[in-house]
Amino acid sequence: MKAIRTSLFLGFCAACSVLLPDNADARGSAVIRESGHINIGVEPGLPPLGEYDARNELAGYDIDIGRAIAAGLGVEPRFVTLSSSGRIPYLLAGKVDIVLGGLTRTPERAEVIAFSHPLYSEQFAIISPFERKIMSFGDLTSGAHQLVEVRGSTAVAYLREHAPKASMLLLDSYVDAIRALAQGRGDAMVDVIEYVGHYLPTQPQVQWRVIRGFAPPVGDDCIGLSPQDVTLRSDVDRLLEKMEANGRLEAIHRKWFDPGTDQRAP
Amino acid sequence: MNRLDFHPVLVRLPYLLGGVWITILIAALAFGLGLSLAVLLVVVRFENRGVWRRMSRGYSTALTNTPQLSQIFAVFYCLPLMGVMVSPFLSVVIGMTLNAAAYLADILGAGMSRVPSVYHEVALTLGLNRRQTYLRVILPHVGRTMFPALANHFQIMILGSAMASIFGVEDLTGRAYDIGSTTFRILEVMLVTGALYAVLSFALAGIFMLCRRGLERMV
Repeated sequence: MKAIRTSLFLGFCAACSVLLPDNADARGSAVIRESGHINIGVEPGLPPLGEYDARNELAGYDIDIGRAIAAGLGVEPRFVTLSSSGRIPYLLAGKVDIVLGGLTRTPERAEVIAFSHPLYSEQFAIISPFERKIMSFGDLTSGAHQLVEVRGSTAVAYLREHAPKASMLLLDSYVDAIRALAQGRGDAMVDVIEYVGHYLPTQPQVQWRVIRGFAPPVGDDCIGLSPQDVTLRSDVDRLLEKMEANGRLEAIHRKWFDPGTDQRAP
Repeated sequence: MNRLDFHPVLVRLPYLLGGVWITILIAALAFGLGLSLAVLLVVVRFENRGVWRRMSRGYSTALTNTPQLSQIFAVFYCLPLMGVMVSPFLSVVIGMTLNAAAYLADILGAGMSRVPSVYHEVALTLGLNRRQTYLRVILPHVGRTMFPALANHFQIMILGSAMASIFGVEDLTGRAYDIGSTTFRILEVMLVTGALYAVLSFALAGIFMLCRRGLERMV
């Protein structure tokens, strides 16, 4: 009993340390400039947004955008790697100042974080092994098929709303999800093909069917920011407007995405 | 710091609590199956001196020196390559069973080595065969003496079953991540989930304490 009481006391102390205000306040532009660096959350497992290149260095659309933002603020970019499910918690905990990683603007997310101007818009596709004979989104709404999805992705929320009967196996990364799908643990996956498409060649034994255009663009991909500080948000928006005007945003998009399928938001 | 808001978590508490039973089920199944396999391993270890004994020891060495996560990963992703498809739940149970068997065999082995030689002599005098000696004399004694270590390992397995969430199982941690990804209140979810694990662990400690007292009275 003494051990239990001690454990409860230590747990109470730990809870108090969490509940009391700490230094997790969002850093504004002035603090960031003063510190000389900006912490940028990126997902390294989501090419072409973020990946490790041949030299084992971070590369991708988000990395270039992050570097441009940092250069615009006159500070050094410090990239913090995270997973899809960690994007918003890292931002809320003050571990990063801004977060990328294919962060789609949704009403639910807008209640807890702030968003920059859109970078581009994204659209879902159905990815399934050819032999599963999934021909349309309607095939997925009956609940007869098992879907494999990535926890924390916008597709999960979309499917819960538009295919509530669908059974989902939630894994932590795209590479795991595609492997599970290829091994027959599921029948299909719904996600942004520009992200998932990079993993399809890793399973060359599978003939994939990709169905596009069953839904309108699901949302705008933005930079996530803390809702507490408006100075950084206005600075980031100003920099994005400038990059839009001088064609830099367009150039980065064309560099990493297929130039023939430019989906950047107007 | 953003103000903590437990309301989105508390309204989903029944869903979260449903994960507690899955957590207990995973740990109980893996412990029960692992204990059965461990008995087999340790009997082989004590009754054989040749290749079987080395294999038993090698099994424990291999599985106690590799992460449980990679063992479950192997079951989850490698078995389908051999044409064997098992569900995520079963993959986790199999992986945890294989891991538990290695540790439990070492625990039981330590207990077996402490069985007084007079026990064996008495069993022989009474005319018990090897099977009867193990079932009626040695294993009950080992079970009583090693009960605290076995109970501790079960509690470790309860907490360790959290990695089931990585493989899509909706145990307590899996449901917590699910709620966190929906409400974005991951800190609040994890505080509540941690408290639930603590309650579960303390409850089990109390139950095991009562069991131990019962066993001591039986001696």
